[in-house]
Amino acid sequence: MIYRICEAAVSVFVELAACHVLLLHHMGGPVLQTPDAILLSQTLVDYRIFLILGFTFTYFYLKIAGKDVSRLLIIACTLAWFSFFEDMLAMSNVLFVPELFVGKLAQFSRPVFLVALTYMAIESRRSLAHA
Amino acid sequence: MPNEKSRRDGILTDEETNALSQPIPAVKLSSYGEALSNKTRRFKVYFFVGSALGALFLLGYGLGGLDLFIVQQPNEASADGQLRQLRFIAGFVMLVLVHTWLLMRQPLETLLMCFAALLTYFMLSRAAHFMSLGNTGDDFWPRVIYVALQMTCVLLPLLLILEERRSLRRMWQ
Repeated sequence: MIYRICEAAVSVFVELAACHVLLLHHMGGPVLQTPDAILLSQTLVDYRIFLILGFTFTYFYLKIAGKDVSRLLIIACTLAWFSFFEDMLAMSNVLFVPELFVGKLAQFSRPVFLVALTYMAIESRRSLAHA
Repeated sequence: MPNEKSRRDGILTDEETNALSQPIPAVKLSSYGEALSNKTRRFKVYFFVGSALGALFLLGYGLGGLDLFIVQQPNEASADGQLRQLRFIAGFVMLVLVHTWLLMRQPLETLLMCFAALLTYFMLSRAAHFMSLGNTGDDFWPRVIYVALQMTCVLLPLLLILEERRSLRRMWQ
């Protein structure tokens, strides 16, 4: 049950993040606050969304095929936590876009996403050990 | 036979009580010789090449030798420098973790997979960053060499994973 809730939380974050990136592209440069943000959003946000979607589709494929998802979740979890620390420590004032409501939602749901993903990774590892 | 008698009675002997009362070390590190004894020859080669490359990379970064490859552009983001510092620390932590995991004789496969994914992320983001800066003539080849070096850093954990699997298969046979 908790695993399903976590899956839902992760799915919501993925959708929000995808919507946010699409909106940023649609609205262009002026939405972003600083020249740093324009440069970094081009290099970081764009390919990160491909990464997130790639992991999501692979996860669903493995789930449907009945294969082990624990390794994928551990890798996704490592990358998610690292990119979170990267944003917090190195780019705290650069990538925050307060004007966009979807962006705000994505920012605020990020800690929930991280906790949910970590729980999923641990739970899948535990169930693999018991199998 | 007091031991036999006590076993029959379900009572621990003095020796058994002493053995049980000994403190169990939380972390027990073996030597490199012991840790690598059941690994394949290729694993050892990749491990030492990877460690040496990693150490050189960190040393080069620390001494500023890599500045030749990453020339700071006048319009380049200030946050990018902080990003590089953070990744330098991450690289150092990864190197230490691989060695510690090996000496603790823990399975390395998942750890190496995580590191390969992280290094791929570093490489792709750096390549994307270089592409966004555009072709600036003189900086082109140093950037290509830098990305190629990072690609080598991604390949090594992947090769180590293959050899780790081979080592495990050999051990089970």
